[in-house]
Amino acid sequence: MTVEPNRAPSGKAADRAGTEVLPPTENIAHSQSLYRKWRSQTFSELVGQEAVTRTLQNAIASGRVGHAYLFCGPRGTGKTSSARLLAKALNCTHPNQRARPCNQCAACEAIVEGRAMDLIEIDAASNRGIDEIRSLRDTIGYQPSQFRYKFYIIDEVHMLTEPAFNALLKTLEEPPPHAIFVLATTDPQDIPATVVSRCQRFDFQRINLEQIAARLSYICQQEEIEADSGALELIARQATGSLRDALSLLDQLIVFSGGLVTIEAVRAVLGVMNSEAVAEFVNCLLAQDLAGGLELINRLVQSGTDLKRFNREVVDHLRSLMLIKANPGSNELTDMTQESLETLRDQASHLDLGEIVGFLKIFSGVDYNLKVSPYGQLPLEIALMEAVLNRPASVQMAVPPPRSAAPARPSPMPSRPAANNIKSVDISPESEVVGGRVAAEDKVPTPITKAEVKRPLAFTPEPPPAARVSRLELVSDNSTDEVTELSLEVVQTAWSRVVEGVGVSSKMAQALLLEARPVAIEGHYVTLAFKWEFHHKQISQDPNRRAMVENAYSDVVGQKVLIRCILEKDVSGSVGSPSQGAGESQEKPARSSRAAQAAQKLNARILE
Amino acid sequence: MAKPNAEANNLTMATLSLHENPRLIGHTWATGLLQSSIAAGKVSHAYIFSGPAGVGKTRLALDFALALNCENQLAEHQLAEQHPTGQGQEAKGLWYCGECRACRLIAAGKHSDVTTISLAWQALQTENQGSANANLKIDTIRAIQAEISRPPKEVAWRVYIVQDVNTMQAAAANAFLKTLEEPPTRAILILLSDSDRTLLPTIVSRCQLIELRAVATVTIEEALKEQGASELIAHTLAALAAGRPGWALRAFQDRTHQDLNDRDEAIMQLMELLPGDRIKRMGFAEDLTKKWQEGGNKRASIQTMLNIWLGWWRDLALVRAGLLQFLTNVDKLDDLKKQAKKLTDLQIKEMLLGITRAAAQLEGNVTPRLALGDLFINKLPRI
Repeated sequence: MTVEPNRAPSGKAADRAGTEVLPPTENIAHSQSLYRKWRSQTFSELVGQEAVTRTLQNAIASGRVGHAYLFCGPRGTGKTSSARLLAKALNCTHPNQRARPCNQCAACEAIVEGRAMDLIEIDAASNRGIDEIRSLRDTIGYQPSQFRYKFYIIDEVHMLTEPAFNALLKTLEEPPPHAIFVLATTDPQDIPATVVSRCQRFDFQRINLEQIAARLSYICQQEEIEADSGALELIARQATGSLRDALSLLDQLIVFSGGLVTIEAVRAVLGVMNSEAVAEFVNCLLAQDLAGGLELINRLVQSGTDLKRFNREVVDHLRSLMLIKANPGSNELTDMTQESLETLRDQASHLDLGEIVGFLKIFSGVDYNLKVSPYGQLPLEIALMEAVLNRPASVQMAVPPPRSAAPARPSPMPSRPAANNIKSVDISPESEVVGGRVAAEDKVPTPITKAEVKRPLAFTPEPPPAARVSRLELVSDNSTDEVTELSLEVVQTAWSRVVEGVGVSSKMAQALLLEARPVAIEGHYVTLAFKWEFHHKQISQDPNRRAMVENAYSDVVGQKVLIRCILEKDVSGSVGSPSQGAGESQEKPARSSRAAQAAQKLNARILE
Repeated sequence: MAKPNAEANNLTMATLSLHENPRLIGHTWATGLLQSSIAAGKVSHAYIFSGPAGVGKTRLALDFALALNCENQLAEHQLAEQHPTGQGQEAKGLWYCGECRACRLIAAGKHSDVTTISLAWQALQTENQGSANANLKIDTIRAIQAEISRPPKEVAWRVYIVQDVNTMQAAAANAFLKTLEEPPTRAILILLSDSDRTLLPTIVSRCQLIELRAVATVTIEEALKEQGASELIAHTLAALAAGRPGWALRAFQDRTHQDLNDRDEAIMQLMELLPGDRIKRMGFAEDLTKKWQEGGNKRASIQTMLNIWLGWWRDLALVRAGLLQFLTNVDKLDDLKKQAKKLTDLQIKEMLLGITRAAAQLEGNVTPRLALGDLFINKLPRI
């Protein structure tokens, strides 16, 4: 990339100005984004940060201005704007201190137009080294050229390197009397404590929905743009507390809809479906209608809906259900229309709180996966399957009783008669299908390998996860009361969550644990049986991994757990031998009786 | 969930030239938005076009650059005459003549005021091939900052199309912030991202986010037919594309049928594995482990295989639900039906979760022996 000397636009472009084509300069004059055009120019315009503005204004009025400030808070909440406001107010020449900044004096104008010599705005993210800080330190001693103060705004300050931070310390502690620093950042946790303690810290809050909507409607008025209040509210909702996000979106919509911002336009641009789709989806969950749910998801995809937003709304809806269930008189939901409140109440009456929480857990994990999945809608589809198929065993095993929610269920599509045939397989209990398979294999001369018996085993004692979740919560509640009494069943049902928990910190450890399972409990000690020596070694001889497992376990069951690792073949003897191994420990009886029960159920023999 | 690394890389390398991909497919709301922003003189200074690989981000960015800078800009009433509203696909499209000097140069990637930055570009700059160029570096961002202050020489707008922005790490991304917020006048930055997963929220909030969503299967099918595909091929490829017209076009134009062959091979392997016993399955996991250790493309091919399997099991679930119109592997309906009869929804769900987890583990550098061993032994039903 070579930098060439600047040249004026060629004659061709200039020629165009006179003819029918649009002169490019005209484009440029209008091209400033709303969020830049409507940056707050007075403290009263600064939205949603009353605590900050009041403190700053009082400091200015009473002449007690610090020499260094740290502004932190999420994006689009007014940090840079406040820093510039402070710079203006301190340099403003208006006689009344309360009226500063006046936006009329030379100093204010220079700052607004971005040509003030004494306002030095440093992009710490691209000038992050010690050399930049040294050059700052070298020049800070010079008197301001026009104003009262030399004002340094160091934006994105969390990106400075550590040496750079340290080089800044002395200057920040005792700058010359004419210098004032404002450090602005979204990540205050990345800033050394030594820096933070030298600054006055201000935390900017997310701006709430009404304030964003009010600001949007003010700007629309000023820009002479018509907008529905519903549309503005939807924009504000999408902005999640950031005014800049809201204004970017408004910008897009103004252009898209040619000056009349309607709720339909917002939906088209954002890919937000109408709110009925969400309720319909939750109805599918209620009715355990897998086909209906899958169809809905795919219809939404084909019509260009943004599934991330859809999923967020599903989570929102479930959250409302939870609130209504937990506290019917709650005024958290007062901003809802009567109609949607009715729908919610109706749906809530068919669910218990545990189920709702189970759904919430499943769907709140989908957002991230939707962003990275190669098959756009697949994570949502998997979540739907999880939610529908994991209903408590009693519901799943028997023929599903016609739920009272059935009328709300969308009418079956005409194209689905074939599905009903296939579905009938589903109605027969799970174990029969599995058992049938094992029985069939029994006739084949090949001996049943350990894995064959094991798989059904893994199915039967383990209730489906949703039930598991709710049961576990009961268990952990109890366990806080009566400290001991961890039963084998509890540690076994907790196991899959433990494995998931370990996976958060190490995928490798998680993979290793898949070949192990808890077989016994003795006080705080859980015995893990590993199928293979390799896995056993990798876990038992690595104190870090052990600790990881123990911590995850303790978190899940709610009390201190330690682990012991053994090899499965030490417990149960060698594979395929009919007699029990000699070096068998006390946990064996529990396991073998369990296996025997399962085998009986499955009409299978135990070969090991 | 697995990062669709393999597919993404293949696609970036084979980004279609204008000649092969004569027009943007779908996304009429986005082109409408951009065209009216040009007409109204309200072009923003920074955009993010995001969406899965092959959905049309690069094509849209090029179209936008062309429409911004075409020398024969039409006045609004002419635009209206050219495309009377509501008629035909192009009514809402971005307009450019395609014949003037600016159009020709931009289309050929040779215009000095329209620059495309990508990992490939970065590799050329640093003359440093290989893994050092897996991320867009802070030096590259600084180079953009230095260069962008130069006003356009010939046309109205200096346009930067920055590909692969999702590979930026924290330092580079933060270095971009101030430029993105207040770039010089007459400069436009267009960031293209596979997903907004790794983009900082502070970056996203400075740009206009245009999220390109999956294109309807019917639209892709029509576009393929326009290109001369037969009814059957258009139908098959459009379904397989899962909303990504770029993928469909590439698969159609590729005479070696690489993508289709990959798909067939992966499905065949799955079919062989289904009735296989434990020994056979572990043997396959071993083979994959060997492949994995060779690194590079071989690794990518394993990820591709898992992705194809995901598609297959998803189809099985859809067949069981009777939703045949949403299938991806439409040409293998018989196999799907046969398998679906023997499976339960629960087994399919377990497999989908298992494949997803295995892919994530591979991404986290777990050996295939571990990651896939569990999948094959404990999850994969034997039918």
